[in-house]
Amino acid sequence: MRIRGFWGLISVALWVACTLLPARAASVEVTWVELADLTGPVAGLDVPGTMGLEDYIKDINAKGGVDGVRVKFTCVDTRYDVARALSSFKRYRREDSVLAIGIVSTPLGKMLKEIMGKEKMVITVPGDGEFQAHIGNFFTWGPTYQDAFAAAMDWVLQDWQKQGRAGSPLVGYLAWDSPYGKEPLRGGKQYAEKLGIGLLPPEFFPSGTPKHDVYLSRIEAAGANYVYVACVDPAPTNIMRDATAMGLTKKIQFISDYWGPTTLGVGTHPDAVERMVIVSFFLRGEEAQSHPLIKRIWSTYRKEPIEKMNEMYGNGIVWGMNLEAALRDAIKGVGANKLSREILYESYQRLTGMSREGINGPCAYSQTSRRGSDQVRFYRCMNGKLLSISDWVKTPDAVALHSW
Amino acid sequence: MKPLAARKELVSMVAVAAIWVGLQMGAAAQQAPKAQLTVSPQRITLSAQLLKEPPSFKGSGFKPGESVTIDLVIPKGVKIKTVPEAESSVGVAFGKANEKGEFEAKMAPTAIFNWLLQVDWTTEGKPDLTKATPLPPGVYELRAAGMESDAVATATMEVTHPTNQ
Repeated sequence: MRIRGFWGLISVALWVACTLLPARAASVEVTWVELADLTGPVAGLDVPGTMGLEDYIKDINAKGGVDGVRVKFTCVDTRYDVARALSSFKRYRREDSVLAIGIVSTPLGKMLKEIMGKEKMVITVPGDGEFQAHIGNFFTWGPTYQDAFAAAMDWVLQDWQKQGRAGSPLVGYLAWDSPYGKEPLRGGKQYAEKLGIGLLPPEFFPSGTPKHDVYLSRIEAAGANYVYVACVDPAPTNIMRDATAMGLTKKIQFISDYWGPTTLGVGTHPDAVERMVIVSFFLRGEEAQSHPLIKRIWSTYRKEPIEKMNEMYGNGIVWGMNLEAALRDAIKGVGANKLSREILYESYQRLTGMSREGINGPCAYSQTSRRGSDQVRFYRCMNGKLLSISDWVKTPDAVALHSW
Repeated sequence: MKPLAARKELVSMVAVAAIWVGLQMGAAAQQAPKAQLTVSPQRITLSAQLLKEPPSFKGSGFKPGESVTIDLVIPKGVKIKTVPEAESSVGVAFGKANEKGEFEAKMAPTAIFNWLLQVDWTTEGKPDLTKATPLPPGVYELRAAGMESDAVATATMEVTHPTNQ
Protein backbone atom coordinates (compact mmCIF):
# COMPACT_ATOMS: atom_id res chain seq x y z
CA MET A 1 0.00 0.00 0.00
CA ARG A 2 2.86 2.30 0.81
CA ILE A 3 4.38 1.73 -2.62
CA ARG A 4 1.04 2.40 -4.41
CA GLY A 5 0.65 5.59 -2.40
CA PHE A 6 4.15 6.71 -3.37
CA TRP A 7 3.55 6.19 -7.09
CA GLY A 8 0.17 7.85 -6.79
CA LEU A 9 1.83 10.90 -5.31
CA ILE A 10 4.41 10.97 -8.11
CA SER A 11 1.62 10.75 -10.74
CA VAL A 12 -0.28 13.63 -9.19
CA ALA A 13 2.92 15.71 -9.01
CA LEU A 14 3.66 15.02 -12.69
CA TRP A 15 0.11 15.90 -13.67
CA VAL A 16 0.30 19.16 -11.75
CA ALA A 17 3.67 19.99 -13.33
CA CYS A 18 2.40 19.28 -16.83
CA THR A 19 -0.71 21.35 -16.28
CA LEU A 20 0.81 24.38 -14.64
CA LEU A 21 4.12 24.78 -16.44
CA PRO A 22 4.03 26.33 -19.91
CA ALA A 23 5.71 23.25 -21.28
CA ARG A 24 4.33 23.53 -24.81
CA ALA A 25 5.06 27.19 -25.13
CA ALA A 26 8.74 26.35 -25.35
CA SER A 27 8.08 24.23 -28.42
CA VAL A 28 5.79 26.70 -30.20
CA GLU A 29 7.33 28.37 -33.23
CA VAL A 30 5.64 30.92 -35.45
CA THR A 31 6.86 32.10 -38.83
CA TRP A 32 7.24 35.53 -40.38
CA VAL A 33 7.61 35.42 -44.18
CA GLU A 34 9.27 38.37 -45.87
CA LEU A 35 8.66 38.62 -49.61
CA ALA A 36 11.53 41.00 -50.23
CA ASP A 37 13.02 42.60 -53.32
CA LEU A 38 16.62 41.93 -52.42
CA THR A 39 17.54 42.42 -56.07
CA GLY A 40 16.38 45.18 -58.43
CA PRO A 41 15.35 48.84 -58.24
CA VAL A 42 14.11 48.87 -54.62
CA ALA A 43 16.87 46.68 -53.17
CA GLY A 44 18.50 49.81 -51.76
CA LEU A 45 15.71 50.17 -49.23
CA ASP A 46 14.56 46.59 -48.86
CA VAL A 47 17.89 44.86 -48.22
CA PRO A 48 18.76 46.92 -45.12
CA GLY A 49 15.16 46.82 -43.86
CA THR A 50 15.06 43.04 -44.17
CA MET A 51 18.45 42.77 -42.47
CA GLY A 52 17.16 44.81 -39.53
CA LEU A 53 14.09 42.61 -39.17
CA GLU A 54 16.10 39.39 -39.46
CA ASP A 55 18.57 40.57 -36.81
CA TYR A 56 15.86 41.70 -34.42
CA ILE A 57 14.18 38.30 -34.74
CA LYS A 58 17.53 36.65 -34.02
CA ASP A 59 17.70 38.81 -30.92
CA ILE A 60 14.19 37.78 -29.84
CA ASN A 61 15.15 34.11 -30.15
CA ALA A 62 18.49 34.66 -28.40
CA LYS A 63 16.46 35.85 -25.41
CA GLY A 64 14.34 32.68 -25.50
CA GLY A 65 11.59 33.95 -27.82
CA VAL A 66 8.50 35.96 -26.96
CA ASP A 67 7.31 34.41 -23.70
CA GLY A 68 8.85 31.15 -24.91
CA VAL A 69 7.47 31.33 -28.45
CA ARG A 70 10.25 31.28 -31.02
CA VAL A 71 10.02 33.15 -34.31
CA LYS A 72 11.21 31.67 -37.58
CA PHE A 73 12.24 34.17 -40.23
CA THR A 74 11.76 33.09 -43.85
CA CYS A 75 12.83 35.41 -46.63
CA VAL A 76 12.16 35.08 -50.36
CA ASP A 77 14.02 37.30 -52.82
CA THR A 78 11.19 38.22 -55.18
CA ARG A 79 13.52 40.22 -57.48
CA TYR A 80 11.01 43.05 -58.13
CA ASP A 81 8.79 40.46 -59.79
CA VAL A 82 5.09 40.26 -58.91
CA ALA A 83 4.71 36.77 -60.46
CA ARG A 84 7.41 35.36 -58.19
CA ALA A 85 5.95 37.15 -55.16
CA LEU A 86 2.40 35.98 -55.86
CA SER A 87 3.47 32.37 -56.36
CA SER A 88 5.48 32.49 -53.10
CA PHE A 89 2.52 34.02 -51.30
CA LYS A 90 0.33 31.13 -52.48
CA ARG A 91 2.87 28.65 -51.13
CA TYR A 92 3.27 30.20 -47.68
CA ARG A 93 -0.40 31.04 -47.21
CA ARG A 94 -0.96 27.30 -46.80
CA GLU A 95 1.46 26.93 -43.90
CA ASP A 96 -0.35 27.29 -40.58
CA SER A 97 2.77 28.42 -38.75
CA VAL A 98 2.98 31.51 -40.98
CA LEU A 99 1.22 34.20 -38.93
CA ALA A 100 2.27 37.31 -40.86
CA ILE A 101 3.83 38.32 -44.15
CA GLY A 102 5.86 41.37 -45.09
CA ILE A 103 5.83 42.64 -48.66
CA VAL A 104 7.50 45.56 -50.42
CA SER A 105 5.66 45.64 -53.74
CA THR A 106 2.83 48.15 -54.04
CA PRO A 107 1.23 46.34 -57.04
CA LEU A 108 1.40 43.03 -55.15
CA GLY A 109 -0.34 44.61 -52.18
CA LYS A 110 -3.19 45.80 -54.39
CA MET A 111 -3.57 42.27 -55.82
CA LEU A 112 -3.44 40.54 -52.45
CA LYS A 113 -6.12 42.87 -51.11
CA GLU A 114 -8.49 41.41 -53.66
CA ILE A 115 -7.33 37.81 -53.15
CA MET A 116 -7.53 37.83 -49.35
CA GLY A 117 -11.17 38.91 -49.19
CA LYS A 118 -12.39 38.47 -45.62
CA GLU A 119 -9.49 36.24 -44.54
CA LYS A 120 -7.62 37.87 -41.64
CA MET A 121 -3.84 38.11 -41.72
CA VAL A 122 -1.25 40.78 -40.98
CA ILE A 123 0.51 41.87 -44.17
CA THR A 124 2.93 44.76 -43.78
CA VAL A 125 3.39 47.10 -46.74
CA PRO A 126 5.36 50.28 -47.51
CA GLY A 127 2.95 53.27 -47.64
CA ASP A 128 0.00 52.80 -49.96
CA GLY A 129 -2.84 55.06 -48.74
CA GLU A 130 -5.42 52.72 -50.23
CA PHE A 131 -4.90 50.46 -47.22
CA GLN A 132 -5.82 53.26 -44.85
CA ALA A 133 -8.84 54.16 -46.96
CA HIS A 134 -10.05 50.55 -46.95
CA ILE A 135 -9.17 49.10 -43.54
CA GLY A 136 -8.15 45.46 -43.74
CA ASN A 137 -5.12 43.20 -43.56
CA PHE A 138 -2.52 45.67 -44.77
CA PHE A 139 -0.47 47.63 -42.23
CA THR A 140 1.80 50.36 -43.62
CA TRP A 141 5.34 50.73 -42.29
CA GLY A 142 4.92 54.44 -41.49
CA PRO A 143 2.69 57.30 -42.61
CA THR A 144 1.12 56.79 -46.03
CA TYR A 145 2.79 58.26 -49.11
CA GLN A 146 0.15 60.98 -49.40
CA ASP A 147 0.41 61.93 -45.73
CA ALA A 148 4.18 62.35 -46.04
CA PHE A 149 3.66 64.41 -49.21
CA ALA A 150 1.17 66.61 -47.34
CA ALA A 151 3.66 67.13 -44.51
CA ALA A 152 6.23 68.15 -47.13
CA MET A 153 3.75 70.68 -48.55
CA ASP A 154 3.37 72.17 -45.05
CA TRP A 155 7.16 72.47 -44.91
CA VAL A 156 7.25 74.09 -48.37
CA LEU A 157 4.76 76.74 -47.34
CA GLN A 158 6.63 77.48 -44.11
CA ASP A 159 9.95 77.69 -45.99
CA TRP A 160 8.38 80.01 -48.58
CA GLN A 161 6.96 82.30 -45.93
CA LYS A 162 10.21 82.22 -43.93
CA GLN A 163 11.98 83.62 -46.99
CA GLY A 164 9.43 86.44 -47.09
CA ARG A 165 8.40 85.61 -50.64
CA ALA A 166 5.11 86.89 -51.98
CA GLY A 167 2.37 84.83 -53.60
CA SER A 168 2.30 81.02 -53.57
CA PRO A 169 5.05 78.57 -54.39
CA LEU A 170 4.93 76.40 -57.52
CA VAL A 171 5.78 72.75 -56.89
CA GLY A 172 6.90 70.22 -59.53
CA TYR A 173 6.42 66.49 -59.08
CA LEU A 174 8.86 63.92 -60.46
CA ALA A 175 8.25 60.23 -59.75
CA TRP A 176 8.53 56.66 -60.99
CA ASP A 177 5.85 55.67 -63.42
CA SER A 178 4.38 53.06 -61.09
CA PRO A 179 1.48 52.73 -58.62
CA TYR A 180 3.90 53.82 -55.88
CA GLY A 181 4.97 56.90 -57.85
CA LYS A 182 1.37 57.98 -58.34
CA GLU A 183 0.15 57.27 -54.81
CA PRO A 184 1.30 60.50 -53.07
CA LEU A 185 -0.98 62.56 -55.31
CA ARG A 186 -4.10 60.59 -54.35
CA GLY A 187 -5.11 63.00 -51.60
CA GLY A 188 -1.77 64.83 -51.62
CA LYS A 189 -2.81 66.86 -54.66
CA GLN A 190 -5.98 67.96 -52.90
CA TYR A 191 -3.98 68.88 -49.79
CA ALA A 192 -1.57 71.07 -51.80
CA GLU A 193 -4.55 72.80 -53.43
CA LYS A 194 -6.07 73.38 -50.00
CA LEU A 195 -2.87 75.17 -48.96
CA GLY A 196 -2.97 77.31 -52.09
CA ILE A 197 0.19 75.71 -53.48
CA GLY A 198 0.40 75.53 -57.26
CA LEU A 199 1.11 71.93 -58.27
CA LEU A 200 2.58 71.50 -61.75
CA PRO A 201 1.50 68.58 -63.97
CA PRO A 202 3.33 65.50 -62.65
CA GLU A 203 6.27 64.02 -64.56
CA PHE A 204 6.63 60.22 -64.47
CA PHE A 205 9.59 58.16 -65.67
CA PRO A 206 10.40 54.43 -65.70
CA SER A 207 12.68 53.02 -62.99
CA GLY A 208 16.21 52.57 -64.30
CA THR A 209 16.05 55.78 -66.38
CA PRO A 210 19.68 56.89 -66.82
CA LYS A 211 19.07 60.62 -67.43
CA HIS A 212 16.29 62.91 -66.23
CA ASP A 213 17.11 66.10 -68.18
CA VAL A 214 13.97 66.05 -70.30
CA TYR A 215 11.65 65.92 -67.27
CA LEU A 216 13.68 68.48 -65.35
CA SER A 217 13.69 70.85 -68.34
CA ARG A 218 9.90 70.81 -68.49
CA ILE A 219 9.62 71.42 -64.75
CA GLU A 220 12.10 74.30 -64.94
CA ALA A 221 10.27 75.83 -67.92
CA ALA A 222 7.04 75.74 -65.93
CA GLY A 223 8.69 77.88 -63.25
CA ALA A 224 8.91 75.45 -60.31
CA ASN A 225 10.22 76.78 -57.00
CA TYR A 226 10.26 73.34 -55.38
CA VAL A 227 10.31 69.79 -56.77
CA TYR A 228 9.02 66.76 -54.87
CA VAL A 229 10.79 63.54 -55.89
CA ALA A 230 9.17 60.10 -55.34
CA CYS A 231 11.45 57.21 -56.28
CA VAL A 232 13.84 54.87 -54.47
CA ASP A 233 17.48 55.74 -53.98
CA PRO A 234 19.77 55.85 -55.97
CA ALA A 235 17.19 57.30 -58.39
CA PRO A 236 16.73 60.55 -56.34
CA THR A 237 20.52 60.93 -56.18
CA ASN A 238 20.69 60.57 -59.97
CA ILE A 239 17.96 63.19 -60.37
CA MET A 240 19.98 65.54 -58.19
CA ARG A 241 23.12 64.79 -60.22
CA ASP A 242 21.28 65.82 -63.41
CA ALA A 243 19.64 68.85 -61.74
CA THR A 244 23.02 70.03 -60.43
CA ALA A 245 24.57 69.68 -63.89
CA MET A 246 21.72 71.78 -65.30
CA GLY A 247 22.24 74.43 -62.59
CA LEU A 248 18.74 73.86 -61.19
CA THR A 249 19.64 73.19 -57.57
CA LYS A 250 20.66 76.85 -57.16
CA LYS A 251 17.16 78.07 -57.85
CA ILE A 252 14.87 75.13 -57.06
CA GLN A 253 14.59 73.39 -53.69
CA PHE A 254 14.41 69.61 -54.19
CA ILE A 255 12.58 67.47 -51.63
CA SER A 256 12.63 63.69 -51.58
CA ASP A 257 10.02 61.34 -50.18
CA TYR A 258 11.12 58.91 -47.47
CA TRP A 259 12.93 56.58 -49.92
CA GLY A 260 15.46 59.28 -50.73
CA PRO A 261 19.20 59.24 -49.96
CA THR A 262 20.47 57.71 -46.74
CA THR A 263 23.82 58.49 -45.16
CA LEU A 264 25.61 55.99 -47.42
CA GLY A 265 24.28 57.68 -50.58
CA VAL A 266 24.87 61.18 -49.28
CA GLY A 267 28.46 60.28 -48.39
CA THR A 268 29.09 58.75 -51.80
CA HIS A 269 27.67 61.65 -53.86
CA PRO A 270 27.85 64.68 -51.53
CA ASP A 271 28.01 67.31 -54.26
CA ALA A 272 25.02 65.93 -56.16
CA VAL A 273 22.62 65.80 -53.23
CA GLU A 274 23.77 68.98 -51.44
CA ARG A 275 20.80 70.94 -49.99
CA MET A 276 18.22 68.27 -50.81
CA VAL A 277 15.54 67.98 -48.12
CA ILE A 278 14.16 64.56 -47.14
CA VAL A 279 10.90 63.85 -45.38
CA SER A 280 11.44 60.72 -43.29
CA PHE A 281 9.41 58.61 -40.87
CA PHE A 282 12.51 56.90 -39.49
CA LEU A 283 15.71 58.21 -37.96
CA ARG A 284 18.47 59.03 -40.41
CA GLY A 285 22.06 60.20 -40.25
CA GLU A 286 23.92 60.36 -36.95
CA GLU A 287 20.62 60.21 -35.07
CA ALA A 288 20.24 56.64 -36.34
CA GLN A 289 23.89 55.71 -36.00
CA SER A 290 24.00 56.77 -32.36
CA HIS A 291 20.66 55.22 -31.37
CA PRO A 292 21.40 52.70 -28.57
CA LEU A 293 19.11 49.88 -29.77
CA ILE A 294 20.10 50.19 -33.43
CA LYS A 295 23.77 50.27 -32.41
CA ARG A 296 23.42 47.19 -30.22
CA ILE A 297 21.58 45.08 -32.78
CA TRP A 298 23.89 46.15 -35.63
CA SER A 299 27.11 45.50 -33.70
CA THR A 300 25.87 42.16 -32.34
CA TYR A 301 24.71 40.65 -35.63
CA ARG A 302 26.57 42.54 -38.39
CA LYS A 303 29.87 43.15 -36.61
CA GLU A 304 30.73 46.04 -38.89
CA PRO A 305 31.29 49.76 -38.24
CA ILE A 306 27.98 51.57 -37.79
CA GLU A 307 28.99 53.94 -40.63
CA LYS A 308 28.33 51.07 -43.04
CA MET A 309 24.68 50.87 -41.99
CA ASN A 310 21.84 52.10 -44.22
CA GLU A 311 19.25 53.70 -41.91
CA MET A 312 16.45 51.52 -43.26
CA TYR A 313 18.04 48.90 -41.02
CA GLY A 314 16.53 50.74 -38.03
CA ASN A 315 13.16 50.59 -39.70
CA GLY A 316 13.51 46.81 -40.02
CA ILE A 317 14.12 46.73 -36.28
CA VAL A 318 10.81 48.56 -35.82
CA TRP A 319 9.01 45.84 -37.84
CA GLY A 320 10.47 43.34 -35.38
CA MET A 321 9.47 45.43 -32.37
CA ASN A 322 5.89 45.56 -33.66
CA LEU A 323 5.83 41.79 -34.13
CA GLU A 324 7.27 41.17 -30.68
CA ALA A 325 4.73 43.44 -28.98
CA ALA A 326 1.80 41.99 -30.92
CA LEU A 327 2.90 38.42 -30.16
CA ARG A 328 3.19 39.25 -26.47
CA ASP A 329 -0.31 40.73 -26.52
CA ALA A 330 -1.68 37.69 -28.35
CA ILE A 331 -0.01 35.21 -25.99
CA LYS A 332 -1.35 37.14 -23.01
CA GLY A 333 -4.82 36.93 -24.50
CA VAL A 334 -5.08 33.32 -25.66
CA GLY A 335 -1.90 31.51 -24.67
CA ALA A 336 0.96 30.30 -26.85
CA ASN A 337 -0.84 27.23 -28.14
CA LYS A 338 -3.79 29.11 -29.56
CA LEU A 339 -1.87 31.66 -31.61
CA SER A 340 -3.39 32.19 -35.01
CA ARG A 341 -3.32 34.70 -37.85
CA GLU A 342 -6.58 36.24 -36.74
CA ILE A 343 -5.44 36.56 -33.13
CA LEU A 344 -2.22 38.29 -34.21
CA TYR A 345 -4.22 40.52 -36.55
CA GLU A 346 -6.34 41.63 -33.58
CA SER A 347 -3.20 42.25 -31.52
CA TYR A 348 -1.61 44.47 -34.17
CA GLN A 349 -4.62 46.74 -33.86
CA ARG A 350 -3.93 47.13 -30.14
CA LEU A 351 -0.39 48.51 -30.63
CA THR A 352 -1.73 52.08 -30.62
CA GLY A 353 0.75 54.48 -29.04
CA MET A 354 3.49 51.87 -28.58
CA SER A 355 6.94 53.46 -28.37
CA ARG A 356 9.59 52.32 -30.85
CA GLU A 357 12.26 54.04 -28.78
CA GLY A 358 12.22 57.03 -31.10
CA ILE A 359 13.37 55.17 -34.24
CA ASN A 360 9.88 55.92 -35.64
CA GLY A 361 7.14 57.99 -34.09
CA PRO A 362 4.72 56.13 -31.80
CA CYS A 363 2.76 53.29 -33.41
CA ALA A 364 -0.53 54.44 -34.92
CA TYR A 365 -2.08 51.03 -35.68
CA SER A 366 -5.61 50.73 -34.31
CA GLN A 367 -9.00 49.41 -35.37
CA THR A 368 -9.38 52.49 -37.54
CA SER A 369 -5.78 53.08 -38.56
CA ARG A 370 -3.33 51.08 -40.64
CA ARG A 371 -0.63 53.73 -40.46
CA GLY A 372 2.60 52.53 -38.87
CA SER A 373 2.98 56.04 -37.47
CA ASP A 374 1.74 59.53 -38.19
CA GLN A 375 4.93 61.46 -37.66
CA VAL A 376 7.85 62.51 -39.84
CA ARG A 377 11.11 64.44 -39.49
CA PHE A 378 12.90 66.57 -42.03
CA TYR A 379 16.58 66.21 -42.92
CA ARG A 380 18.86 68.19 -45.19
CA CYS A 381 21.91 66.91 -47.07
CA MET A 382 24.81 69.15 -46.06
CA ASN A 383 28.51 68.59 -46.66
CA GLY A 384 28.14 64.86 -47.16
CA LYS A 385 25.93 64.37 -44.09
CA LEU A 386 22.24 64.19 -43.26
CA LEU A 387 21.35 66.88 -40.75
CA SER A 388 18.09 66.94 -38.84
CA ILE A 389 16.21 70.19 -39.47
CA SER A 390 13.05 69.44 -37.51
CA ASP A 391 11.65 67.53 -34.59
CA TRP A 392 8.92 64.91 -35.13
CA VAL A 393 6.03 66.55 -36.98
CA LYS A 394 2.49 65.16 -37.14
CA THR A 395 1.44 64.32 -40.68
CA PRO A 396 -1.85 65.66 -42.09
CA ASP A 397 -4.51 63.13 -43.11
CA ALA A 398 -4.30 63.41 -46.90
CA VAL A 399 -5.84 59.96 -47.44
CA ALA A 400 -9.21 61.36 -46.40
CA LEU A 401 -9.05 63.98 -49.17
CA HIS A 402 -9.08 61.47 -52.02
CA SER A 403 -12.29 59.94 -53.40
CA TRP A 404 -11.67 56.21 -52.97
CA MET B 1 -33.75 -12.12 -40.23
CA LYS B 2 -32.30 -15.16 -41.96
CA PRO B 3 -28.56 -15.00 -42.83
CA LEU B 4 -29.21 -15.19 -46.61
CA ALA B 5 -31.76 -12.39 -46.53
CA ALA B 6 -29.41 -10.27 -44.45
CA ARG B 7 -26.60 -10.82 -46.95
CA LYS B 8 -28.90 -9.85 -49.85
CA GLU B 9 -29.88 -6.66 -48.05
CA LEU B 10 -26.24 -5.81 -47.39
CA VAL B 11 -25.34 -6.37 -51.05
CA SER B 12 -28.16 -4.11 -52.23
CA MET B 13 -27.16 -1.39 -49.76
CA VAL B 14 -23.55 -1.49 -50.98
CA ALA B 15 -24.74 -1.37 -54.60
CA VAL B 16 -26.96 1.66 -53.92
CA ALA B 17 -24.10 3.40 -52.11
CA ALA B 18 -21.71 2.66 -54.98
CA ILE B 19 -24.16 4.05 -57.55
CA TRP B 20 -24.69 7.19 -55.42
CA VAL B 21 -20.94 7.78 -55.06
CA GLY B 22 -20.47 7.25 -58.79
CA LEU B 23 -23.23 9.75 -59.60
CA GLN B 24 -21.74 12.32 -57.23
CA MET B 25 -18.29 11.91 -58.74
CA GLY B 26 -19.70 12.21 -62.23
CA ALA B 27 -21.59 15.35 -61.28
CA ALA B 28 -18.51 16.86 -59.69
CA ALA B 29 -16.47 16.08 -62.77
CA GLN B 30 -19.13 17.74 -64.89
CA GLN B 31 -19.24 20.84 -62.66
CA ALA B 32 -15.48 21.38 -62.66
CA PRO B 33 -13.98 20.94 -66.10
CA LYS B 34 -10.39 19.85 -66.06
CA ALA B 35 -8.09 22.85 -66.01
CA GLN B 36 -6.06 23.34 -69.16
CA LEU B 37 -3.02 25.40 -70.11
CA THR B 38 -1.45 26.29 -73.43
CA VAL B 39 1.86 28.06 -73.93
CA SER B 40 2.71 30.15 -76.95
CA PRO B 41 5.14 29.72 -78.55
CA GLN B 42 5.99 26.20 -77.43
CA ARG B 43 9.61 26.72 -78.38
CA ILE B 44 11.56 29.85 -77.45
CA THR B 45 15.10 31.02 -78.07
CA LEU B 46 16.69 32.98 -75.25
CA SER B 47 17.39 36.40 -76.75
CA ALA B 48 16.35 40.04 -76.40
CA GLN B 49 13.58 39.31 -78.92
CA LEU B 50 11.64 37.73 -76.03
CA LEU B 51 11.05 41.21 -74.64
CA LYS B 52 9.17 42.11 -77.81
CA GLU B 53 7.38 38.79 -78.11
CA PRO B 54 7.10 37.39 -74.59
CA PRO B 55 5.88 33.85 -73.89
CA SER B 56 2.14 33.95 -73.31
CA PHE B 57 -0.29 31.61 -71.63
CA LYS B 58 -3.95 30.74 -72.03
CA GLY B 59 -5.90 28.61 -69.61
CA SER B 60 -9.37 27.40 -68.79
CA GLY B 61 -11.18 25.42 -66.11
CA PHE B 62 -10.41 27.79 -63.24
CA LYS B 63 -12.76 29.39 -60.75
CA PRO B 64 -14.26 32.56 -62.22
CA GLY B 65 -12.53 35.64 -60.83
CA GLU B 66 -9.64 33.86 -59.18
CA SER B 67 -5.98 34.69 -59.69
CA VAL B 68 -3.91 32.09 -61.48
CA THR B 69 -0.16 31.76 -61.04
CA ILE B 70 2.05 30.19 -63.69
CA ASP B 71 5.16 28.52 -62.33
CA LEU B 72 8.18 27.18 -64.15
CA VAL B 73 8.98 23.78 -62.65
CA ILE B 74 12.68 23.61 -61.89
CA PRO B 75 14.22 20.32 -63.05
CA LYS B 76 16.75 18.64 -60.76
CA GLY B 77 20.21 20.01 -61.33
CA VAL B 78 19.02 23.31 -62.79
CA LYS B 79 19.92 26.35 -60.70
CA ILE B 80 17.74 29.44 -60.84
CA LYS B 81 19.34 32.61 -59.48
CA THR B 82 18.27 33.40 -55.89
CA VAL B 83 15.78 30.50 -55.77
CA PRO B 84 16.72 28.08 -52.96
CA GLU B 85 17.25 24.47 -54.03
CA ALA B 86 14.38 23.34 -51.80
CA GLU B 87 11.91 25.23 -53.99
CA SER B 88 10.65 23.13 -56.88
CA SER B 89 9.23 25.95 -58.99
CA VAL B 90 9.31 29.68 -59.54
CA GLY B 91 6.43 31.99 -60.47
CA VAL B 92 6.90 33.48 -63.94
CA ALA B 93 3.51 35.00 -64.79
CA PHE B 94 0.03 35.51 -63.41
CA GLY B 95 -3.45 36.18 -64.69
CA LYS B 96 -7.04 36.42 -63.57
CA ALA B 97 -9.78 34.02 -64.64
CA ASN B 98 -12.79 35.64 -66.31
CA GLU B 99 -16.41 34.69 -65.69
CA LYS B 100 -15.91 31.56 -67.82
CA GLY B 101 -12.87 30.49 -65.80
CA GLU B 102 -10.49 31.34 -68.65
CA PHE B 103 -7.38 33.47 -68.37
CA GLU B 104 -4.64 34.95 -70.50
CA ALA B 105 -1.23 36.03 -69.25
CA LYS B 106 2.21 36.81 -70.53
CA MET B 107 5.65 37.01 -69.01
CA ALA B 108 6.55 40.55 -67.92
CA PRO B 109 9.99 41.91 -68.91
CA THR B 110 11.14 41.57 -65.27
CA ALA B 111 10.25 37.87 -65.30
CA ILE B 112 12.04 37.31 -68.63
CA PHE B 113 15.16 38.99 -67.24
CA ASN B 114 14.95 37.16 -63.91
CA TRP B 115 14.00 33.59 -64.79
CA LEU B 116 14.86 33.04 -68.47
CA LEU B 117 17.88 35.23 -69.07
CA GLN B 118 18.81 35.19 -65.37
CA VAL B 119 20.54 38.56 -65.33
CA ASP B 120 21.95 40.45 -62.37
CA TRP B 121 20.57 43.91 -61.57
CA THR B 122 22.62 47.06 -61.15
CA THR B 123 22.07 49.24 -58.11
CA GLU B 124 20.22 51.62 -60.41
CA GLY B 125 17.70 48.94 -61.30
CA LYS B 126 18.97 48.10 -64.77
CA PRO B 127 19.47 44.52 -65.97
CA ASP B 128 23.14 43.55 -66.20
CA LEU B 129 23.34 41.17 -69.16
CA THR B 130 27.08 40.68 -68.74
CA LYS B 131 26.32 38.61 -65.66
CA ALA B 132 23.48 36.63 -67.19
CA THR B 133 23.39 32.86 -66.75
CA PRO B 134 20.58 31.89 -69.15
CA LEU B 135 18.31 28.96 -68.38
CA PRO B 136 19.90 25.80 -69.83
CA PRO B 137 18.34 24.43 -73.04
CA GLY B 138 15.69 21.79 -72.51
CA VAL B 139 11.99 21.06 -72.23
CA TYR B 140 10.46 22.71 -69.17
CA GLU B 141 7.14 22.09 -67.49
CA LEU B 142 4.89 25.06 -66.73
CA ARG B 143 2.18 24.74 -64.13
CA ALA B 144 -0.85 27.01 -63.82
CA ALA B 145 -2.58 26.91 -60.43
CA GLY B 146 -5.74 28.61 -59.23
CA MET B 147 -5.23 30.69 -56.10
CA GLU B 148 -8.54 29.57 -54.57
CA SER B 149 -9.67 26.46 -56.45
CA ASP B 150 -6.26 24.78 -56.48
CA ALA B 151 -7.09 23.64 -60.02
CA VAL B 152 -3.83 22.78 -61.76
CA ALA B 153 -2.95 22.52 -65.43
CA THR B 154 0.41 21.85 -67.01
CA ALA B 155 2.07 22.38 -70.36
CA THR B 156 5.63 22.32 -71.66
CA MET B 157 7.90 24.83 -73.34
CA GLU B 158 11.18 24.09 -75.07
CA VAL B 159 14.01 26.49 -74.35
CA THR B 160 16.86 26.83 -76.83
CA HIS B 161 19.92 29.06 -77.04
CA PRO B 162 20.85 31.11 -80.12
CA THR B 163 23.17 29.21 -82.42
CA ASN B 164 26.54 30.79 -83.22
CA GLN B 165 26.68 31.88 -86.84
